[in-house]
This record gives sequence, structure tokens and C-alpha cells, in this order.
Amino acid sequence: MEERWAAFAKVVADWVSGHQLLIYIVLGILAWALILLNYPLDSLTPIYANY
Amino acid sequence: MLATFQILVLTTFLASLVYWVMPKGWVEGRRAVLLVVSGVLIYIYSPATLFLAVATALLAWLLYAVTKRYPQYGWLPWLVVLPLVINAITPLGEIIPFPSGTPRGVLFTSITTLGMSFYTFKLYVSIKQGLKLNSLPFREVLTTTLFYPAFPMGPIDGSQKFDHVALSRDPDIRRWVMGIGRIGMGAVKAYIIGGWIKTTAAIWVFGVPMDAMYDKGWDGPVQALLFAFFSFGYLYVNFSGFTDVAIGAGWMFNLDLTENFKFPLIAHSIQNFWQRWHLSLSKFITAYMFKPMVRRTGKASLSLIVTFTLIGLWHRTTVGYLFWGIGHGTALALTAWYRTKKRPPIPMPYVVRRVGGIVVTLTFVSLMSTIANQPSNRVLARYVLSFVGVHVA
Repeated sequence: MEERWAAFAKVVADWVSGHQLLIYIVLGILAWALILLNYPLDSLTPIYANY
Repeated sequence: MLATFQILVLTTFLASLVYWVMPKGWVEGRRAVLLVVSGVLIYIYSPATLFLAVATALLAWLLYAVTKRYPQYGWLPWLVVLPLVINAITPLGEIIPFPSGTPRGVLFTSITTLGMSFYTFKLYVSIKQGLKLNSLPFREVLTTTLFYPAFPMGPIDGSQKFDHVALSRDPDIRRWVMGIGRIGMGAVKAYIIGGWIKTTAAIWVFGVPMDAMYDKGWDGPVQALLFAFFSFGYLYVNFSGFTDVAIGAGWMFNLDLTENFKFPLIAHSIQNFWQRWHLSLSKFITAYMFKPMVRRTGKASLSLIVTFTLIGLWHRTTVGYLFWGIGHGTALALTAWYRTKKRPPIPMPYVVRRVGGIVVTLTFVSLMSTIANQPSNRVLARYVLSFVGVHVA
């Protein structure tokens, strides 16, 4: 079972690293569409920005 | 964020065009673009913030020069944390006489010291790597300190990420396009998903937005536990979203900032969590704190607890982060100790064991994070008491 999961994860990881540009373009277009639909965005401060 | 998202995107777009118009031989021209844009953005945010960052960079460079001259004092680079330690004891906003007439107090200190804990560690890495390479130009120290996308929250990278080689790369249109996509994906995480968790989803589950829970209190352990998942989920999308924006902006200049997250929500053990969460910090902890301490003391468990306690206080000097540090350090030490026993795995199907590991890890880190990020000791006490059914109004 463990080996089957590892093999599956490797196939997915290989596909992702081989198609990075395509993934970033598709997800990027979706992301920017969401941003424009929700424009203007609230200005938030990162809460992990410790002072 | 130093500026609003819109200003950051527009600035990055225009700055990257100016940056790439310059031929690769004009390395210092390209550096000037990064420094001027960063300096202006930080100055607009607050002149005091810029002043403190440049002063700390100067301190780091001086420490490098002195350590290089007197290598027998190997501890000298750690003095770069002095401003951070002083700030923890006496808020720097109270003692910096700059600019005259600027309002002092908690808010001023928070603004003045924005990004301080991050650039302190970036500077320490820069000094150590500089000593190894026998070279640390001040202009590179300044670039890593001020580089605006990574200024408020990392990733923690040494100045060698901004050296002559990095800035003389050819334009890479593929990376530039991917950078725009990544900035968008980061913004969706930080603003849209984060906003949804904080308001819509929180109102649906708790009846009020997440921030209002600190005033309202928690009805009992179930609600307090649910709140921990919400709080940690929000922290993750916020932190990783802004890191995506920083890394994406770096790609637009063909610069490699360190990846900070590898799907930490599916970590199946506390050790695995630290191989997925805030990787630039965990690399820093391992290389510059944990390993040297183990070499000196020979005690791995104690070193883990001490290291994480210090890192907890690096986040913020509060009781909550003290618990966070002790909790993470102890959990890691216990896991490491258990693994040395080399017991056979618990007899249960792989999927059950793996999913169980994910649930336990996520619950633990969510609780630790929620305890650490409570706004005051009073609210922290109220949150902890709610787990034993005590509701304090």
C-alpha cells in the first residue's frame, strides 16, 4: 500500500514539474479572475509578520 | 504588506521592466532599481522602519568585518540580534529619537520594527555565508535586508541570493509569466480564502467573525478546538499567500527566494511538519542553532527544547509563544526519542496510520499556534480554560 501511494505521488509530482508553465498560466488566470471579481481587495497585514 | 496589493503589483510590474531594460553588464544599475524601489516603499511606510533596517544592516556588515579580523571570536555574528533583544526589553519606538515629534508608543514601535525579526536572521545567514566565502559586499547585505517583497515576512535568505551572479542573469520570460501567476495565487490565498475563513465561514460556524471571538470567548472545548483549526487555517493561507507573492515577485526579477511551504496541512508527524512549514526558518534553526548546540552539549533532546523555546520568543516575547516553543521542542524531542526505540509500527492499515498521523499533527500544531497568537495573556487564559469547560466572560 505504502509503495503504491509513493508511486502515485511520484507520477503526480513528475507531471506537475514537467508542466509548470501551463499550471501557472491556468491557475494564474483563474486567480487573477477571482481577484478582479473581488476588487478592490482589503489591505491586510500578514499576521505572521512579528514585530 | 508594505503597501496595498495594488501598489505592490504595479510597482513590481514597472520595476521589473526597468530592471530588464538594463543589459546584464549593468549589475549595479539593476541593484539600484531594487534598492531604490525597496527604499522608497519602506520610507513611505515609515522613515523610522527604513532607518532601523539600514542601521541593522550596517551593524551586520561591521560584525562580519570584525569576525573576519578576529576569527577566534566565533560568537560575534550573534550580536546582530542585539536590536531585536533590546526591542523585546525596551520597545525601540520609545527610545529612537527619530523623527522628532513622531508619535511614540506601541503602534509606533510596531511600525518601526516591521520585518525586524526576519531581517535579523537574514543578516546572520549573510554574515556566516560571507565568512565562508570570504566576501560580503555591503550592497548585497543591504539588498537582502530591504528587498521589498520579502521585507515584512521573509523567506529568510542570505545576501548571496542577491549577489553579482543572481543579478546578472538573462531575462526569463517564462519565469516572469509564472511570477505574475504566483502573485495572483498568493493574493487569492491571503485575501480571498483568508477573508472567507475569517468572516463568512467563521460567522457560519461561530456566529461571529473570527476576531470577535477574542471578545466573545469560547463556549466549550469543541468550539475552542474548532477555533484552533480556523485560526491555524487562516495563519497558513495568510502566511503562505504573502510568501507566494514575495517568491512570485522575485521570479519577475529572475531571483530565487527559498520555498517556504510544502503542503504543511498534510504533515503526518511533527518532524514531517517542520520539513513542510516555514522551511527557511527550519533550515536556519537546524544549521545555526540546533546542530551547533548538539555539537557543544551532545544532548539532542535538550537542544531541541532550548532551540524551539528561543525561536518561540523570536516570534514574539509573550507567554503564548513561550508555550509554543516549549511545546514544539518537547514534541520533537519525544518523537525523536520514540524513534530511537525502533519499535515495530502500530499494527493498523497504512491509510489509517497515515490519516491518523495527519489528524494528530494538525490538531497539535493548530492548538500550539492558536495559543501563541492570542492577543493577550488574559484572552490566552480564557482560551485554555474553555477546554476544561470554564467559560469566562
